[in-house]
Formats: sequence, C-alpha cells, structure tokens
Amino acid sequence: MSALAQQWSESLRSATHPQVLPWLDALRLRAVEQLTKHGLPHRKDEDWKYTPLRVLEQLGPAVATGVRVENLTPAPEPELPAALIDSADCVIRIHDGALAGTEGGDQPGVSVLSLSEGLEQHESLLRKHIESVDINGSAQAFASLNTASLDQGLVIHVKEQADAGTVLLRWTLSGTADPSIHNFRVFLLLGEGSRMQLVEQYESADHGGSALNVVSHFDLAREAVVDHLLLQNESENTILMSSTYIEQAQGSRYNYSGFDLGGGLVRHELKTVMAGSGAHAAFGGAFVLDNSRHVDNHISVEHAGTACSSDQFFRGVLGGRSRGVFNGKALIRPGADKSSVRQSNANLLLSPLAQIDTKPELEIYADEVEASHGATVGQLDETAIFYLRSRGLSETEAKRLLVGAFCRSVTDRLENQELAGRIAELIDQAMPSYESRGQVL
Amino acid sequence: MSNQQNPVDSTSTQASPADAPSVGSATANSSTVDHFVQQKYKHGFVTDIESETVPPGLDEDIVRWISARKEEPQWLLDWRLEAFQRWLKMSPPDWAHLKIDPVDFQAISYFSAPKSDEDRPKSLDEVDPKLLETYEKLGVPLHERAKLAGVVAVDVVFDSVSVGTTFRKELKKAGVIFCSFSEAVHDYPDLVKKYLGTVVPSRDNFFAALNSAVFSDGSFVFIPKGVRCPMELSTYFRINAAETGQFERTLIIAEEDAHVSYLEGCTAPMRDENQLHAAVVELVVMDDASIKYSTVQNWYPGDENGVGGIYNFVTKRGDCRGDRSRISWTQVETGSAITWKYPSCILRGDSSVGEFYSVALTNNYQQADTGTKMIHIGPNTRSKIISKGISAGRGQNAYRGLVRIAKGAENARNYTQCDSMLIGKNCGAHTFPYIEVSNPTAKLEHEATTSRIGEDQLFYCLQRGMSEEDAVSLIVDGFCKQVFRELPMEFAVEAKALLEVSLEGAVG
Repeated sequence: MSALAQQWSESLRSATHPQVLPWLDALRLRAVEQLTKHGLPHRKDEDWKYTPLRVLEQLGPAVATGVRVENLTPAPEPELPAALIDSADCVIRIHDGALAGTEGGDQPGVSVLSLSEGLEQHESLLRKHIESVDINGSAQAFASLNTASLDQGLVIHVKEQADAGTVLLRWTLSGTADPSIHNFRVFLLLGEGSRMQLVEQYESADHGGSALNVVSHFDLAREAVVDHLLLQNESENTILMSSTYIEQAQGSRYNYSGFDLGGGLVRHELKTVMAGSGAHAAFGGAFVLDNSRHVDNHISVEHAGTACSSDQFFRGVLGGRSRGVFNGKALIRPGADKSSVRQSNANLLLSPLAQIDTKPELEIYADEVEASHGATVGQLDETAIFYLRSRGLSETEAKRLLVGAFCRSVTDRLENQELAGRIAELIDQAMPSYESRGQVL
Repeated sequence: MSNQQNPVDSTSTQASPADAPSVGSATANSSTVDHFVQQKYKHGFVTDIESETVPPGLDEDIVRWISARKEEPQWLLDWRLEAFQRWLKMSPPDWAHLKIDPVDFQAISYFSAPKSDEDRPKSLDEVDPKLLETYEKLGVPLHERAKLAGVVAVDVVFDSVSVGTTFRKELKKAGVIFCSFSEAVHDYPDLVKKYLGTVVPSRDNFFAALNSAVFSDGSFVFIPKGVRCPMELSTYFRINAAETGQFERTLIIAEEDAHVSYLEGCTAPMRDENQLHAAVVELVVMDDASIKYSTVQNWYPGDENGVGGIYNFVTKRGDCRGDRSRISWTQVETGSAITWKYPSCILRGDSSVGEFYSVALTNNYQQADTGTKMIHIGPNTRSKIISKGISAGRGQNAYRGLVRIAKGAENARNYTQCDSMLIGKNCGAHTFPYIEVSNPTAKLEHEATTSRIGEDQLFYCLQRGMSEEDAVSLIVDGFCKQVFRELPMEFAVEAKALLEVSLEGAVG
C-alpha cells in the first residue's frame, strides 16, 4: 500500500499543470511530500479502522494531471426521472476526472467555470478553501493526493439572492484495461440569500475498476440554501473517495441526502463548520448494499456559532458480504449555546456475512445544548413478515416491502416527491440478491 | 424498556428529546456553583508511617527485587520479566480523549510496604493504631465495619501490602478463598498459575504490561463450585507514601454455580505529585456462576487548579467462560485527576450476560475517559450498558464503549444508554460509542443524550421550598439512580454522599 503512495508521489513530482501560481505550486509540492512521507491510511488511523484499502492495489501507478483530451464515452441512460433531467437548469459532465461538457447554467447571477477560469476570477476565495484542507498525516492521504494533483475542477459561483435552480453533476468513469485514480475539485460559492439544488449522479456505462477522488467545497454565505442530493450506483469494482467541506455562515441551510446503492469501495467524508449563528445542517442517507460492496459515511458537524442545529439520519441495509460504516460526529465548541444535535443510525443486517460498524460520536464543550443520538442494528421483524404473509404476500415480497419501508424514512425527507419515488424504486431494484439466513430475498 | 424492537420503526431508534432535561437560557446561581465547586477534598492528609520503599526507577533488577522481596516462585518471576520485556517495547496509549503530561516512569518508586511487615498483625487489635486512625479519618471505621454483624469482610490494602484481613475463617468454612495476592501465590500457587494473565494477558496494553512486571499486591478470591459467598467481599485501596506507584492485581474466580459480590473503594490523601495507579483486575466466571464487582473510586483529584491528583490507568476485564454466566460491573468514579478505565466483559459462554453501570463525575480540571467493552462471542449472549457522566468546572468526561458482536454470536442482544450532564460553561461531555456487528441475528440499541440540568426542574424544586443545593443534589441523584440502584446498600449511601461532596453547588 505504501508502495502505491510512493508511485503516485513519483508520478506527481514530475507533473506539469496548466495553472501557474506560485502559492499553488508550493502547496502541491507540500502535498506530494506529505503523501510520500505518510503513505495511505491504515487500520491504526482511527478514522480508517473500519475501511481497509487493499482494493486500491488494482490501481495503476500514474496519476493523471495536465490538460486532458476529451474522449467522452457514451453516457449511460439516466436513472433519474426524465422530468428532473429536463428541468435541470444546468447539466455538467465530468468524465475520468475532467470537465467533459456543460449545458445551461446561464441564469442571471450564475457562472459555471473551469478551475482555471475560477482561479482567475476568484483566486483569493479559492485559495482560502484550498489551503484550509488538512493534508497532514496518513489519514488525510486522499486530500493530499487531490491537492498534489490539483489542476482539474469546476467552480460554480452564485451571486447574492440568485437562484441557480437545479444543477446536475454527472460523474462517469471510462472502461479501461489500465485502471487509475482520477482527481477532481469542485467549488460551489453561494452568495447571500442564494439558492441551489445540486444533484450528483455517479454511474458509469462500462467499468474498468478505476477510482475517483473528489474534493468539494461549499461556501454558504448568510441565508444561502443548498439542497444536495447524491445518487451513487456504480459497479462493484469502482472506487470512490469523496470529501466535502462545507462552511456555513449565519442562517444558512445545507441539506444533504446521499443514496449509495452500488460501488465497490465508497467513502464519503462530509465536514461542515457552522461558524455563523442560526445555521442548520442536515445529513440524511441510505446505503443498500449486496455482494462485497463497502460503503463508509463519515460525517462531522462542528457547531461554532450559537443556536445552530444539525441532524444526521442514516439507514443501512446490508446483504451478501457487504460492509457498511457510519461515523457521525458532532462537535459543539465552547460558547455555541442553544445548539441542538440529533444523530440517528439504524441498520438491517440481512446476511450472515454482512457487517456494520457504527460510531455516533458527540464532543460537547458548551452546557446550553440539547444533544441526542441513537443507533440500532437488527433484522427484519419476524412478526411483521408473518403479518404480511398472512395477507397473501410471498416471503420475498414481504421482505422487500419492509426493507422499502425502512429506507422510506430517508426518501421521505426529500422535498421533491417525484424524485423520492424514483429513488425508492432504485432502492427496491438494488435489493434482489439479499440473503436472509440462507434464503434469497 | 422493551427488549423487542422493530427496526422498521424509525422513530424508536432515536432517543426522545423529551428524555433529556430541557434547556433553559438563564445562567443564574453561578455564585452558589462557585462556592460548591471550590469545596476542598475532605480526605486529604498523610499518615506518618515508616515505609520500606525502593528507590525510583525501573529496570530488570527492580522486577527481580520485588519478586525476591515477596519470596515468589521462579515461574512468577519469569512471568514478570517477560511482561517487563514486552513493556519496554510498548508506548503509552494516546487514543483516549485525555491530555496527559508525559509520565516519567523512571521517577516512580515501584514498591512500598509498611515497615512492620515482618511481624504482621494477627488481628485488628494488633494493627498499627496510626493506620486505624487513618481509616477513622476516612470515615471507614474498620471496627465498626467488622462489628456490622459480619456483613462485610475487609481486606485492607495499605499502600501495597495487605495488613489485616477479617472474616477469613468464616469464609474458609464456606470454602471461599479470600486473601491477598501474595498469600495466594504461596498458599494456592496452582490456582494462581492456572488463571493469572488468562483474562488480561501481559501483552494486552502498556499499563497492563507494566502492572504484570511490577504488581505489588492485591486481592485473590476463589469461590468453589456451588458456593454462594456468605458475605459481600470488600477491599479498601489506599495510596499513601509519596511518589509511589501502586500496582494492584486482583483475580477473582467463580467456579460452576458460584456467586460473589465484591466491593472496592478508594480514597487517597492529598499529594502534590501526580501518582500513577495502574491496576489490573481479572474475573473468571464458569457455568451458571456470577460475579458482581462494585467500585467507588474517590482518589485525590488534584486541587482546583489541576495540580496533583492520581493518574488512574486501570485494566479491568471479566471472562464469562461458562454457559449462563454473568458479570456485572458497577462503578462510581468521582476521584482521580485522570481516569482511563474500561471494565469489560468477554461473553464466551452460551447465554452469558454482561452488565456495566457507571457514574463518572469530573470537576475542576479532572479528566475521565471511561466506558466498557462488551465482546459477544457465544450465542444468546446479552449485555446492558448504563453510563451516566457528569461534568462540572473544567472537567472533561468521555464515555468510550465498544459493543462487538462476533460472527458466531447468534441472537446476541445489547442495550446501551449513555447520558451526560453538563454543569457550567467550561466543561466538556463526550461520547464515543463503537458498535461492530457481524451477525445478522443481533439486536442492538444505543441511545444517548447530553444536556444540562433543566432550568424548569430546578425552578420547580426551588418553588417547592428546597434550597438550591438540595435541588441540584436531588436532580443529580435522580440522574444517577439507575446506577446507584445496582450498588450494595452501604455503598449506595457512600456513593450518594460522595457525589454530593464532589459536586456540591457546582450548578448554575
């Protein structure tokens, strides 16, 4: 594993980048040094103890940098409702870690830019975000790698009071005999009182076992509102590492809903800092897994301002030999009074070989707070199955219905009912291979 | 509490906010708080008894010296030396949520015994009166206790060597062995050899390795097959000589269908230097047997500026080897500058049960990182965790608990509840639960709340004519009730009083 980090470092050391900025060059070099020095995360890193990275060994030694030739393979049929695609105000395709096309995004007050353009127009703001990412130590290896190779990215800037509508990011990876790791950086800069609904779809037509390492920054000015929906339905040999850093000013609202129905090794790190008072952050999600899939959700919420509220709500359904990880952390800084924190993680284990590791953490340094968390692990209720069977449903139908209902508590939190219904269908489709005590569900 | 839970019902997975005391906004009563927070440690004094103490420092010779001094057999010396070699290669754990000044292990003296050890008193009457006086000051009148109609036997550990043991004969009649660890090494070497280090191996962790190398004394309890111990067993641990580390080793074995309740309590005199305490407790429980282990820990927590105080780095673990065996840990932790302690249960036997009830309080600059581990290995195993953390002053209180359900643990069941109460603006309450499940038939529930004392509860009590201190005491007592209920009666009284002393008025 450390050999791979060395190879990546080696390939990055001699790389050339389209953007020539002294501070960025220095930072890239420092990130390469960190990666060389510390290597990749290992089990002894507290944040990685449940996510082994052996599967990375399928990746090649090179990390792509510089200007990419756009050779877009046909995109897969969208799994999202046609209505949503049609109504999307902006569709952006990112293929193999490079911008591959933008449609729309021309509403007043909204600008969609490449990283190079973004650095020209908003250098100081982007620099602040880029430099804020912790790249020290092995636990931060993917942040180091992303920073070390930083030259591909997307910047969406929304002026104050503007509404960016629905922005759809479609991530694809090409099928290649030589899988490698691709890096990409996203910046979403939202002015005061602006709004955006961001939909991310991760699904590729054909796969060669490549990896995607995405770092995103959300900058929410006062009263800005972001709805962030992520739908991941990748194949079993796909590796996805995503790190999302959110900064929230006073009265802003960030609402995340993540659905992981596929992927081989998937890790989402979401970190929000609510510096302003009265901000709200919600993280909802469901992971429905079969085979040997591994999905890890690491949520960290920091309450620094007063009267902020946060909610973490995750449901896991695990079949086959799959493994799910939930690590939800809430940190309440001294003085962050009138904070309210809720964490909830419930899991269904449907197979004797599936595994769940959950760790809902609270770290509280203020006394005027209300915090609660709950976590459960169980299986489908035999009496509920019996009841449904007595009503004429087959065992399989009964189980599907119950699993659907279990995940429904997450989809119900979506405002867009049509989308919620479509995702519920996808969850249902993701279920068939589940086993329960030797029986196929 | 219903043990059945339908995982489909999402609402039942969340701790209801209604469970938590509601949050108000006023910050009244801070002067009363300050008054109480500044309460001095009552038990701070030093008894002037000559001690035989080895010079500070640790090397192989010290380990040999301790072993020779205690006239131990070769196998035990070898075991100590092996542990020492392991310890040399280890480094102190750094994962806990604690700020610990580096401990200079070469500045500590690893053995201290009252000098009058050669002619050990045969009865309590022969015990050094100064020593008895010490216990008198502590509010633990041995005579009174002894006279308490034979309810409790006391094995006194003063510094590192047992000085007096009561009720030994009565216990012997029942077939129960209750003696100091050194005596057990001489009198029951086969038993000690058979069980020592089988629950907490010397390689387990840094402090367990250190303890294995230099342990001074402790208690040994053996309850033979089918015996219900006729009385509750109790030991008072105490640290006295300055700059002396104390390394207790306790081993309790309950054979088939044997039952025992063991009580452990501690207070320590005031000291300026940080004192290290690294004890190891091992419990072994066979078929149908049970051990109930209760602790009230009130070691010197350091002064109001965080100077001094005991470092309490303890490894406690019980092994439910038999079917239908049961281990219950109850702890009330109010003392020590730093507490690092995770009494654990390894649930190996079919239908074995592990329980953990804890109240941990940190005031001033105290820090605690405490909790439990429930390792479910056998089928139909059950565990229950009730943890109550109270933080006041600048105290930092962390619950860290692991519940692991191994592949073979069919129908395992766990319920965890950890609640934290914050008293004051500068303290911290943290929760780090680890839940690892590899068996689909397991049912686990974890819930936790963190909040401060409810203004409305306080207001209600005051409005009924209670003084503020009484009101706070009542609310805190109610908060901890679930745990106190598990303590033997006389301990419950002591624990409640302790909590009041440690916390008096720390509320605003």
